[in-house]
Amino acid sequence: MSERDVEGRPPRVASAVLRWVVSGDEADVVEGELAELFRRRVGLHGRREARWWYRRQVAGFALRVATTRERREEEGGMGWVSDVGGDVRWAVRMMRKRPTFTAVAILTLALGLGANTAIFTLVSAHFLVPLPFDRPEELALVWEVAPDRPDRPMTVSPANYFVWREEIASLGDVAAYNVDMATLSGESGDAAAERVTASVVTPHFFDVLGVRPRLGAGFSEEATRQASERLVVLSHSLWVRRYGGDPAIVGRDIRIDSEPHTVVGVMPASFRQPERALTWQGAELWRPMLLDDQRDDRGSHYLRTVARLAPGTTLDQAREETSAMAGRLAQAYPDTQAGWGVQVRAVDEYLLGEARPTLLLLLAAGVAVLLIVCANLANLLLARGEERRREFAVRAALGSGRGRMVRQIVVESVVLALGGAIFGALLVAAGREAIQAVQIRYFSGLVDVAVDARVLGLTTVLAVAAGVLFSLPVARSASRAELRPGLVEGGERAGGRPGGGPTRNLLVVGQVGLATSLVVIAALLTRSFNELVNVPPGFDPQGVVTFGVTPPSARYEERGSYVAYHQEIERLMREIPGVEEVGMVSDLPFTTENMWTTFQIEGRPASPPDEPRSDFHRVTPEYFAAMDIPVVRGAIPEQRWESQEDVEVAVNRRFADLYLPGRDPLGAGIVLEWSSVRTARIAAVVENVLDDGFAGDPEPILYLPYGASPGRRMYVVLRTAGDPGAVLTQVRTVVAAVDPDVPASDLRLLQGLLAETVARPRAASLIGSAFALLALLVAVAGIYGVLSYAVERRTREMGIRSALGASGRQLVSMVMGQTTRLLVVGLALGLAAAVVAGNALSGILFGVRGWDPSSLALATLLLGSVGTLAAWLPARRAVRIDPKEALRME
Amino acid sequence: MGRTGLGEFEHQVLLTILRLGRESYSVPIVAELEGRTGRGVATSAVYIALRRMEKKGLLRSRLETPEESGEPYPRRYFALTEAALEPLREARRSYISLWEGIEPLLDE
Repeated sequence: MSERDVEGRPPRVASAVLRWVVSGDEADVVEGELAELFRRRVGLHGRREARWWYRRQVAGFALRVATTRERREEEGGMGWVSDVGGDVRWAVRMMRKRPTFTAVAILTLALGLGANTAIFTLVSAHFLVPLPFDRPEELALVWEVAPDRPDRPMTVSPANYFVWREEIASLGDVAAYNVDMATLSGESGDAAAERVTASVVTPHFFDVLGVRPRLGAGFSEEATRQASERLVVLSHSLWVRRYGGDPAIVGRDIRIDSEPHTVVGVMPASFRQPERALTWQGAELWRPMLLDDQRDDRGSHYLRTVARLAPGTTLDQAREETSAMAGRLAQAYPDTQAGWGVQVRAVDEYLLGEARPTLLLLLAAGVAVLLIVCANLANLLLARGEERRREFAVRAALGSGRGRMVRQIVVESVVLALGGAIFGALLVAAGREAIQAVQIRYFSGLVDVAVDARVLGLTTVLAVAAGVLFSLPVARSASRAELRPGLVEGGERAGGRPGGGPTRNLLVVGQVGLATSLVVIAALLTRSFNELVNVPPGFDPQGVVTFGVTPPSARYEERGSYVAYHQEIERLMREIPGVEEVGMVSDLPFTTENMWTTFQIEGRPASPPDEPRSDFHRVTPEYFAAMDIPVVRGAIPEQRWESQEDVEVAVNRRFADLYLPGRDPLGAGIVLEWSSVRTARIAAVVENVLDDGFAGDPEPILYLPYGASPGRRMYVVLRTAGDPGAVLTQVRTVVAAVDPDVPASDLRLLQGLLAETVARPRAASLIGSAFALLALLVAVAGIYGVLSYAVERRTREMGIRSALGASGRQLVSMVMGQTTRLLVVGLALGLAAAVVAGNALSGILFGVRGWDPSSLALATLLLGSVGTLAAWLPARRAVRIDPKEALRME
Repeated sequence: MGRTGLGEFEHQVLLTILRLGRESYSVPIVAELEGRTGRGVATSAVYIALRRMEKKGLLRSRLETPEESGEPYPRRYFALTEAALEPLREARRSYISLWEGIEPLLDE
């Protein structure tokens, strides 16, 4: 190639555009000749000027080719432009000619489509992206089911874990684990003591999940035995946060609960443990357990198990086989196994299934909003279609086929919708962090949201579908366009059908209906949420600060040592200004961890399946005052730290009603076989407390005095006056000062804990309301638009009527009459749909029926008044028309 | 202009081709037009005018392949048909009759 050619090469991008715009036989001619002109230009005016000239020429081609296409087509076509490409260019040109219309349309569409894109990110993260395990569809979680509680899966005894692992063929392998906490002891200089969420697992746990550590070999049975279980695998986040991502960490010893553990692995960042208790806060470290000495323990149910199905077997096979085994075990060990069953659940269903109804609801709401948006767009296009009637008539007169015009309209709509989709997706991408925050806060920390190809693909499909949908009414009307009235200026004006025809009325009815349904659903969800959080929990969380302390067994082995530790903490807490009451409890209500026990009522022996069971907490006497749990009868036992021969206990009202009906519970004896306490006497009955969260029923609870059964892990409950924030800071300092190895864990306001348990209903209520509001706004804009247009078209008629003596009142009621009919029909349909939808939702509603009169009334009132207002504004305008002006208008 | 009449731009393009000889392609046409009128011309407008007049039968064209011309690209050469002469004459007549008697008014 000569130098002249290199120097004389036209701008590359513009050349490409030219080739795209001009296709077919003539492309080579145009390109070559334009390049020649370009070289001449370089010689005459310089390179820079020539390049700009070339670009202007290409732009000229693009514009002319687009605008002259129908003429060319009529002439038999010049084959320059591929057809749809031309339609798209034409559409873009039409959009640019009407910037206001385009901006309104794209913004509305961006709202409707963006909302759906945002929901797609959540849905995709939950149901489309596979869980981060090897072949997750083979993983199952296995529980025991207690005789009297078939709905409440129970943790598993070690003996049953071994039976499942070794004797059930359909379960290929089973691993057991437990969730607990661990204290990372303070290390010389840098890192302070830290309490983290942890998990204890059988050595092959990671093998069952099929996830290898990112660093190190992980656990093996042999290594675990050799090291007497003093091994640890770290989470990626802990490794980065506390150890600076140091690869040399493997093989090093770190102190956990004051004992050295050898690091044998670091898990990848994507690893999540398939456990709901770890939904909000993942495990930070894993320690191995062997369970060798517990092979025959059938009484302590404390393990959780995850199983990988044997190749080729199904969940149902596993269910059958484990149930059959449970039956055999019940016969062999009636004392411990009679009546116990097994529950097997797929891991994805267990982890994410709870979110499914909420997400499906959001998906439906998103589609409803989009449909309302589509109805609006269809109306806008119909109104514009009237304006463009002339354009279509000209095209038809020039021989443009109807199919051709319909295609043009559909392409224009799809281009608009895609514009909206791009804008919406950009909004969502910009707000990804916020969506992730919603995801973690309201749904689950087990999955990550992303605006990926899958989500964008779904959005594109939806946008194209929406575009086609909202183009249909106008395409239909254009394909029926009559030539003559279109060509005669102002053709249909004077005699136009009032109101714009049945299509538009139908669209308004549809919008009102959808918006009504959404408002009803949002009202239902909000009412349900309010009902839920307004259930009295049985205590007063206001101003209560809680935290946990767990002195490690390595240094607090003797009972006396940790009792002394707890005593010291209690004493110091009382000295913090603003603290009014200090109580202690083994576990807090509204947390998933509950201890329970079987027992006998004195003088009424019962055999195992019917043996009474109750949750139990160990407490200090001040616990009840600190939580503000009212005493119903008797007096709270005074026993605190010391162990005593005669133990007095408190029970809740549910306990008394369930196990001691019709008799005075005070003084009744309770026998606990496992404890050193042989018989305990009930000294007090306290009010019920919701232990399992707002939606749960009150369970029987037995409150044992701390001294009767002390434990290392205790929660401290502080009732404060004034600013609880100041107390929080003080607590941290004071606890660290007592023993730097024992941090105050889960330090927070009790109200925060309560709020966390209702996160998902809160999300449904908030997001549902946001969607309803959006739907309402879009629908109102639609009603207003249609009515304004109808009034405008009837201006002349109004003028005549006014000139003939019709009063303003009559004119308004004439316009409003028509609107009212549309509103009423839309409302009726919407309410009917809402009742159906509400009943379908009854599973996630709390304390509200799907058929809720007040929600229905609210929606009727809201849509009715806002819809009437939207109609009244244009109607009022019609009345103000000066008859003379109106008649001159045509 | 009348039904068979020429647009002003078409008129200019036809005259330019005549000036350039028997037949010509877009590059010299654009250059000559710009030189004579002293204004920039959109190449695309020239193309469209050429193809439109070909459809009307005022022009005929032939494609010269790279093999024939030795240039790297094909070129399309346009020439006037007999049918173009009548509208040109007509246009000239109308212009002359319109100019008659008023030329002195506009003398520079």
